[in-house]
Amino acid sequence: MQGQFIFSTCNRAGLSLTALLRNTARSDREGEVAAGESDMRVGLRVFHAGVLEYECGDFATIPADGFAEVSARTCPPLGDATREFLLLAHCRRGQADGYFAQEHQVTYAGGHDGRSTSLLYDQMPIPGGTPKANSILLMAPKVWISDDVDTFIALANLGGYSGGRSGGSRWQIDFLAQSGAKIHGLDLDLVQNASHVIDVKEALGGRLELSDALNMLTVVARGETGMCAILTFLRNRRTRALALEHSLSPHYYMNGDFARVRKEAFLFADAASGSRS
Amino acid sequence: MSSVWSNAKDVLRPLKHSLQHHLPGRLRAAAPVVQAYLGGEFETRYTLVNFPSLYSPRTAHPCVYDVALYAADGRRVKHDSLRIAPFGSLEVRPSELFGPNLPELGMFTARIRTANPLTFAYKHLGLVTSHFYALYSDRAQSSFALVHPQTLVDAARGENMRWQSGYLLDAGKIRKLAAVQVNPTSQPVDSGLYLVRAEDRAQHLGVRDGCIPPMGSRRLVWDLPEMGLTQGMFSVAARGLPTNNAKPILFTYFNDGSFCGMHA
Repeated sequence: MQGQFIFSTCNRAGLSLTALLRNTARSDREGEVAAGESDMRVGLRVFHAGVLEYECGDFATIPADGFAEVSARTCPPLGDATREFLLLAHCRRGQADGYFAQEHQVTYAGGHDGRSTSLLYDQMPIPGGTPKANSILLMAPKVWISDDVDTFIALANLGGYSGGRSGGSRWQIDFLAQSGAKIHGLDLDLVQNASHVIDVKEALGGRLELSDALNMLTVVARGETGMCAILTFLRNRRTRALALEHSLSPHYYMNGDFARVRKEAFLFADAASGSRS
Repeated sequence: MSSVWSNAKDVLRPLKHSLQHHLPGRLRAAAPVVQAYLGGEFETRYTLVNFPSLYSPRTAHPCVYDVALYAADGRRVKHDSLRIAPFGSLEVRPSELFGPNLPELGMFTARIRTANPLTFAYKHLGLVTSHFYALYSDRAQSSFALVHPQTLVDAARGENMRWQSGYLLDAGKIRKLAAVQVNPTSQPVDSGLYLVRAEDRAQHLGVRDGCIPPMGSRRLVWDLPEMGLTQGMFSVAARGLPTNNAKPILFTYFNDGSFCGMHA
């Protein structure tokens, strides 16, 4: 059984990453580990801007209920706080190739004051054959900005990799006010096998007048990706408050025709501009 | 007679499906989504979004969220219906929406529907589930916790579940742990939360047993130095959850009094 955990640095927000790769038995699947093959073997790859910078095929063997730390202490590229990295942990239990669900933990620390924020989220299946790029729709109704507060969105954009530098993928990122009005849009060519951190305040470039009150926005992103892990960070520069949450894929809030949704959601730019022209 | 009726139903079934496909209909909405509410010294914000319009932008409509706030004892104390424009969202601060004298602890529920009950626009979405996040902070914004909801009203019950969070907490880095549990069901639920050291899963520390009333909630606090838990990794575990995914929200407090929070 196997799965891949996609995670990302967020150095742009001044945060240092420590991940704890877990090997747990969930309460509804305790027999899975008890039946044997309980160790989890981990291979780790680290990419920057589409280039493989570090690879360790036997990064760790984690016993049942144990963990392995991925940090600057155990993974040398993470010592470089000037660049962003996409990390890919290939986790395997036993010999079968099916997927097993396993949550892992990421912690981001904001400095030397002991403050940090953490999150658990699941590893993903490993696609068979050549990874196919699919359209993706991100809705992030969890962006706040103010004089002191900023939001950073980290897109860990995974694609196929066969050496050299990976290609790009088109993304359209829209910043929407609570009224539904589009404040700003970005058309980006995001390199695959790379982590991209969007600083919302910087991206808006002064298009919103800020105050000391929190202003909530929605960020909607449409793009093509093999797989993507998207994390949203909220940081108060003055008080050093820090928060983190992952995004939820559409199957959490609809169960209908996903293919049609993927197709129609990409019409948003036309619909939004048409409705306001 | 029964075979005639059965044959008639077989004949009519395709017609019924065809009508359902071609006629407008209500947005099919799942049960309300629930999330903990913290008042008193905390500020809570919920972020409702008109996501059906983003999924079907050329036929975008306003939507309505029916929202309610329940006290820790399960009483519904406030409710409202909130209209959201196409592509829009709404930050809901219960202290602003519902006025003063709100409980210090409780549960917020939200259920989406379309403003126009008969519409073709969103039939392809199937069953939709309300989508929002919660942001908790103190009044000075010296701490934030951003958490997505995990369960629905009357989701499958979990009172017999044994659950242990995959979250590893470092006792050397935090001073206090708080957990907030909600019971979004119509029945009281017995639940026990406790702490487990990573190196000794058999020993249950700081066991907090209790009965959470229907639609009620509770907040539990562990002072780690008082318990002698000052180093090493530990997790939160439960005997019985109100629903099978109603895991507690955790708030970890640092030495300077600030906190962060996460779903467990």
